[in-house]
Amino acid sequence: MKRIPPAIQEDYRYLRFKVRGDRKDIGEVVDAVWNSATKFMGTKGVSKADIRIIGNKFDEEEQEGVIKVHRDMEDDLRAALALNLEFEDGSFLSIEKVSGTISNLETK
Amino acid sequence: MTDFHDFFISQKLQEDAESFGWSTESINASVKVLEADDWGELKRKIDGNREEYDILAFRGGDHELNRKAFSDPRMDVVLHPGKGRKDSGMNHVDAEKAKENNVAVGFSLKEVPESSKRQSQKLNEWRRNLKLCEKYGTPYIITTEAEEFSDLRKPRDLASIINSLGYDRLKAVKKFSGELLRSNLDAQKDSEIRPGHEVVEE
Repeated sequence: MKRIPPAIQEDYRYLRFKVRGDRKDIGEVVDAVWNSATKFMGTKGVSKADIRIIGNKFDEEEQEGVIKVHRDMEDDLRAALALNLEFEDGSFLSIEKVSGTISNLETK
Repeated sequence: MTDFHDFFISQKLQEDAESFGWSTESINASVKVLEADDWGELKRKIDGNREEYDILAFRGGDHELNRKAFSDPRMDVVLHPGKGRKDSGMNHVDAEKAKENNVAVGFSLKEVPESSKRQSQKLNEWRRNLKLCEKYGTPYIITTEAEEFSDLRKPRDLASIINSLGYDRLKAVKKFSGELLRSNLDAQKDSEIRPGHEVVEE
């Protein structure tokens, strides 16, 4: 299939997060993010947000990872994570840095 | 030092709060949250505590007391006016009074329930109050009221909640709270005669 021209591609934001609290594996993080996003935005909102947790960017040692979200829905995702993160032990995710490209997230 | 203020974070979380981007000034400010069952009790508590604390807040719930608190210029913040009520706890008259007396409406994450149904109702109440605040120019602030590390959130995340409800995100965490803190700290200076009037030595 031919690639969509850059000008009409969707714009995304990449959010570098850190797990604050007990250690979590990527499965738990994915479930927590999806559950809280669905609870706050509903199915329609989540489909618009097009949330992806980038699998190979999750660092189990540092407990850091990257979430990709549609540019217009960044605030809704942040609000969802601030209001209800479905970890039972009270751990939460804090957003450390936001960028329009993944490569920029790696520069401190 | 940052310009993001949350007065209701517990002082034992000071280091964590600073690393999250909250201003040291607001965490170190002395804060008293008043609770009362009637106006006489509230008035006595305001009289007794106003001089002693930088920020004086009232934990709302009763509509008559909310109105009294919004009408008293010595009060700084009315926290969750809709607590335990089926409505949002304030109307256009309260919003106007609050603007006149420079009393801020406080939105606290502590009052947001877990269950989806109650949470959506609470956010709807917030939206109604924010609409009134914007219409009448009433100041409003958002707080975590964090007592444990797990309650703590970054300023940008709290601002996002206000933004996702459709209102200006920076007003709640920066503009109104900064103005409130500055005016109260200025009022404690010996050189200040009355609000806005200061004796300056040459």
